Amino acid sequence: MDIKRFSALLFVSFNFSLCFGQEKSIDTVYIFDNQMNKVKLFHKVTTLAPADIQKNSSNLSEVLRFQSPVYIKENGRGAVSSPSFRGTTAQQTAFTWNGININSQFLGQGDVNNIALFGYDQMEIKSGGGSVIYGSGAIGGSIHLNNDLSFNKGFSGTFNSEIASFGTFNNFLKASFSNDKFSFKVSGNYLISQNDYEVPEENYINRNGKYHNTTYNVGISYKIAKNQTISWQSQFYDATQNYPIFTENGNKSRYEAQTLRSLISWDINKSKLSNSLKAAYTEDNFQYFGTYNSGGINKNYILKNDFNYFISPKWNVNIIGEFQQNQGEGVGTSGIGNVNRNVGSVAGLLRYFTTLNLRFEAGIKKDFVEGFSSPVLYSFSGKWQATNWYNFNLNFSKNYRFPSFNDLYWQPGGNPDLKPENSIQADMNHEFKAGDFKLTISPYYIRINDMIRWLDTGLGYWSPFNTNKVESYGLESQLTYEKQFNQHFIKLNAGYIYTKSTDLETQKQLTYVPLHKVFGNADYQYKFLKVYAQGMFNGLTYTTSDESRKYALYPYFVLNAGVSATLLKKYIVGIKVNNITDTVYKTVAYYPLPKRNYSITASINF
Amino acid sequence: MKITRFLQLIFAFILLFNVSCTSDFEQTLEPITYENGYFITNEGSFNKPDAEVSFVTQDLNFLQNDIYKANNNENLGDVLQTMAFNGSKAYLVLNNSNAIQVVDRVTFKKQATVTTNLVNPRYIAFSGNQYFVTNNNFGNVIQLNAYNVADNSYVSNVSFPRTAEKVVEAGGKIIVQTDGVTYGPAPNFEELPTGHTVTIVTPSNMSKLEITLPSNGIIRDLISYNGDAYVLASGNTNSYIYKINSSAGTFTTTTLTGITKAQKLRIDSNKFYFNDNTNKIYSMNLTSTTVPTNPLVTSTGNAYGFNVIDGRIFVSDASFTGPSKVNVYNASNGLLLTTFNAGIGTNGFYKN
Repeated sequence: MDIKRFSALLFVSFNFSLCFGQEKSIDTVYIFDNQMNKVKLFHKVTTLAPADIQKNSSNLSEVLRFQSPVYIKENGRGAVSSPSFRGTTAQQTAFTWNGININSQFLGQGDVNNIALFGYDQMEIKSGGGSVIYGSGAIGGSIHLNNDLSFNKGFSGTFNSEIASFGTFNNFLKASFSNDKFSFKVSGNYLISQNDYEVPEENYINRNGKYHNTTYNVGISYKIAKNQTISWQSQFYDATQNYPIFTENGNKSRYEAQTLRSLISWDINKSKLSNSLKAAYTEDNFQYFGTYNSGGINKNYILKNDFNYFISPKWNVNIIGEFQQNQGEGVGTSGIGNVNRNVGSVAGLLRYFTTLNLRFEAGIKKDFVEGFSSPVLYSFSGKWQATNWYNFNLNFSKNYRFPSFNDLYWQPGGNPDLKPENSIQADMNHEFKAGDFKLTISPYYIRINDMIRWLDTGLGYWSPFNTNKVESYGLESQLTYEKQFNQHFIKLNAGYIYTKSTDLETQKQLTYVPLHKVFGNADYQYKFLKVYAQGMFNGLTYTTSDESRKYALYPYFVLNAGVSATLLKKYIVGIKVNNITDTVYKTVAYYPLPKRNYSITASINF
Repeated sequence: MKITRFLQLIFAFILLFNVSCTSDFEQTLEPITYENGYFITNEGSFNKPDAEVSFVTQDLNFLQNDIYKANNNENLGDVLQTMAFNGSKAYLVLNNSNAIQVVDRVTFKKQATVTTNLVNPRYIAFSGNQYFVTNNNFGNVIQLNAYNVADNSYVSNVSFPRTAEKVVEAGGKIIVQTDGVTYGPAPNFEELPTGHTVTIVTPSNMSKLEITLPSNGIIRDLISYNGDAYVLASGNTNSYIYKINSSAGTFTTTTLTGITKAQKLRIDSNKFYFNDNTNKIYSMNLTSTTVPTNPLVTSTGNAYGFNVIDGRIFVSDASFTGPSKVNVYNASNGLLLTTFNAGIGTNGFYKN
């Protein structure tokens, strides 16, 4: 069964009627990730605004835990943390920053608590594969940290300060200026937490848990001609994390990271044609101080061109070409030394807007990676607005992940003969609307082949091999409600996620994949007063590969809430109470997260 | 009102799941004493305090896992490297906790915790009224620490240049494995010796006497039996057993011609038992010079833990993502006696 036959089947099952489906571009806001709006034509994407992110201001882990379907494995608050989407692993989740894949070249994954949290204009969360557009690792899903720049808004600024439990101080300053041709935005953030929380029920003290980080974001966009902009976005991030120890005499370790990301983009936007040429440089430096000291420097030079053309109002073609050089230097015990690889890729997407209510997209991508062969990737999507209360969307794709530098070159053990992991997947989104309610039900199926797993070689070290096969299926559902009457505004958003993810060799559920997760967010606003609540239920989660209940994490429910008031239109003061129910809970065995804790915030808008 | 109805629905939904999932795992162990049987050490996973000890009775019919937590109501620690006995006590060496838990060997109740000057402790040996612990952080600390048995007070230490791994007592001396394996820089990561020494330490004055063994193969193991220390070394063609005369600082060699990459050595009832990297287990008489041609048995899995006690061969197929499998064989004919699951990362077997 191939795509052609599959798509042919779909085509004949629908009526063709003529209509114009071209999307109008809005030119008052410049968005760096120019693919995101196109992705949204076919996929369900959850968007979090800066105000949503502020609700979980400790770290990115909390944002994702309480406001997305992702399962977050966190070794104590603020320490090592990794995501899992749809029963896949952390390495099968792609993090992108303004459209650029930022997963570590060494680890193949994003370390969630070492990714800057503040200064984005949107955080977008997309379940399901997206390797054709977003590259290696976009198998289970992707998390997009995006910036935009608006025009004609004049000057504005925000200063936010927060004092929270466990010696936590968080300050954030943002300023922006724009006229009809020029837009500028800068933000800075400093977060420090002593993070010495205690969980007496577990006889646990979060010893050596202190963390602090500094982030700067700066963006500029300039309209050089009608329909043409030159834009630049950069991020500087500097973080220190100490890793919690269980006993006073345990081996203390610390992780430091310095990240630089810089992207320049030249965009042309005309009614039929658009082109975005991007050059980017990203640099990740890290140092690990422990029993063994190690570290690494990873530099990536990226050149990307995205060409989009409407052949006719109904047919749209999109060609994306990319070249990257990834350079890695391992320091200390990893013994990786100096390595680099060149990656070239060409992707083509064809979109067909049959009617206003029916559209299709087919994509294909081929990578040319030095040293190993990479599979041809493809994607197919269709979306049909059947009635005004129901729409239906189907996606089918092949995605992949490169072996990381550690997989290939770690000493001893690195295996240069590894193949990329690959996956085939399908998902459906059914969206129902009734009054102010919207319900989305998304069943999915993912099969991952050649999954890389480190195995004991029997010679005193471990090596990675393409041995695992994993099958994951499940259901994501989301119910939203939004209503404004008089001066009351209500927004509710609740999700239920069922995930069955099986290692096909052992026929057991993968570790750290809960079968059930429920999360809910409620917002209520009356005049100057805002109230919100967040709840998250996490079902039984196995931590060992044999589904042992002895080592499992038991179901828990955590509730957070906050209230804020706007005074004199400029000043906002607020109080947050996290874990109101004082639940003892863990996302990783032996590492409980904090019990009830508090924070006070104050903001000035100018 | 609409919203409260909606919230009710959500909470009803949540409740449903709470009810449908069982509450916490309850494990109650029958209170027993541990004098007649074998302790099994499970090192646990790195950076988690999930190391544990299992116990199986001498008839191999009764198994208890997690006996430390059951008897002490606390987690044992992070990476249980080894276990040793002295008098009425058992000493549990916890590598990544930098600690030794001293427990009663019959009740398994904790008696003391030792942490002074422990830096990634590895192995332990006893001599007279002192005990000796190797420490190796693969950096600035590669040493042997001495402690008093009576009050666990720290006495002194002696350092080594390259490694400090196994340690045994033989003939009133402490013998330390001061060389081992390292790996070449490129795939297939060729195994290389760090050197070829063992060092004899005199307990009374902590003086060192370094013995350089022949530069054949790589030192893999060091054991003690009836007052003598034995070193196992192996390479790609042959393996070697060196019997150390600890007072004279000399040694005699038994060459295991044709046995490649032997990994672990044990002695039970005057017989050597050793396995190679393909998990073939061989036996030969202590005084014999005839090298066995056929293995007694080939164990399954990774043979992470290996010991021969009371005519039985204990081998673990260690898992670090779940319980490890233990196979027990008859040491005279290699027949499988029993199989059971112990804890995470099973790495050793000890007679109590």
